Amino acid sequence: MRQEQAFLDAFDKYADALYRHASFRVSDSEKARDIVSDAFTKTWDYLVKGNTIDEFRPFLYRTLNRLIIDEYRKKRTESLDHLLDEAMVPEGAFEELVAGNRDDMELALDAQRIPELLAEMPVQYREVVVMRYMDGLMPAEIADILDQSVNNISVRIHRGVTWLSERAEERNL
Amino acid sequence: MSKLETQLKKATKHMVLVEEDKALMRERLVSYMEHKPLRREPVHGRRAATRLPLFGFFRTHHLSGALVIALLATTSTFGMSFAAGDALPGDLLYPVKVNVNEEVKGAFKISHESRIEFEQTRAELRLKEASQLASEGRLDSKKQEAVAKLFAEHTEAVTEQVQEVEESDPVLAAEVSTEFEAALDTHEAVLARLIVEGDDEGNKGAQQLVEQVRTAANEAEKLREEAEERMTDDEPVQEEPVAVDATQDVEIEQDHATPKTE
Repeated sequence: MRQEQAFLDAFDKYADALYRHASFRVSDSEKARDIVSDAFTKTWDYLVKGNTIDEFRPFLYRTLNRLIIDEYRKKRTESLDHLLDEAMVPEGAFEELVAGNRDDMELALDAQRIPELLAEMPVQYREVVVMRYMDGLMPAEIADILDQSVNNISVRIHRGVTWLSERAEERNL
Repeated sequence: MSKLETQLKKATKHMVLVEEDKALMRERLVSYMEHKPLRREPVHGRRAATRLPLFGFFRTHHLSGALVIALLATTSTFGMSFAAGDALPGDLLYPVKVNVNEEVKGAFKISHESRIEFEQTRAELRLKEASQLASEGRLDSKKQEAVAKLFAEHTEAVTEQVQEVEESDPVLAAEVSTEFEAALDTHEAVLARLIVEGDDEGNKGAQQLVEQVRTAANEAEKLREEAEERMTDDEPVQEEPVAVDATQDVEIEQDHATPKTE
């Protein structure tokens, strides 16, 4: 019963965070609920096939991410192209990372307006900013989940935070 | 934790699942786990029994008292509800038919061949149900979505089983893929005819299903081709018989026998 209990414990622990993540990615709370539910049933299917999962959190996020991409495919939006286009982060952009750590900054915006600002973010930034600053995942973990390079993820996070900061200042004027 | 992380987490902490929704999701998950239990390692050479997903289903699906009584009154020794046998999408007992009756039957399918046949039968049953509803003008979007979801699960199960068996038995993989492709072609034709003959409202659901059936048929075709290719690769290479030229040997012998003289 250990795997069963570990699986249910993972649900109790991560369901809300996964739901929050999915809500920002698909902009539809009902769809987000379905996607989270599917993520857990697919994870269980994986265990039923005889596999084991050492750490549920990254596995669940990876599964959730694939389901979200499937959802994008159904809608056939440009979001998918942005999401899958690694070429949008040219190698030469990495000097942006040298500009400094953005973790110490805070947005100059009322807390109540932050969710709507996050919802407006371009999807290629929203995805990684949500994972980094709401889900608390580190760039290496995000890179593993999204199957991209750590540098690529770091640049996208940096640009996303810059976008947030600039928009927050505009709204506060 | 960075300042930004603290700020964003605080600003979005209210975005959680409604308690009732979370509880319901958990109950459904537990029921799903009972329907598809983990495989156990054999104990002392005996195969661990597969639990039949009955009481978990009753407990976690909040079935009304009347429904539970109806189900209990019609259950057999093996716990199957005969009353659900003819249920269609949207009927009260349809979940019992799909999630209990069929799952119980499936628990006893062990070999790849029987599992493939079982899932194919289920996929075709979904299409028959949809066709019946469409013919009665009752295939609305909700029922169509329910059928489409189940059909996708069954066809995915078929694909997985065929891929598992392809390496060890490509002949079987090719045979079952061919049969499934042909069956899907037939069902596609039936649904297409219903679209042509039916009204616009009923057509929408059938139209989406037809496209899904087409996609599944293409997938079955692909599996068949892959299996046939593997069959070709596995066939032993037969060497072409070498034609022996008897006259050439005789000439050589003669050359040796008759040394040249100058």
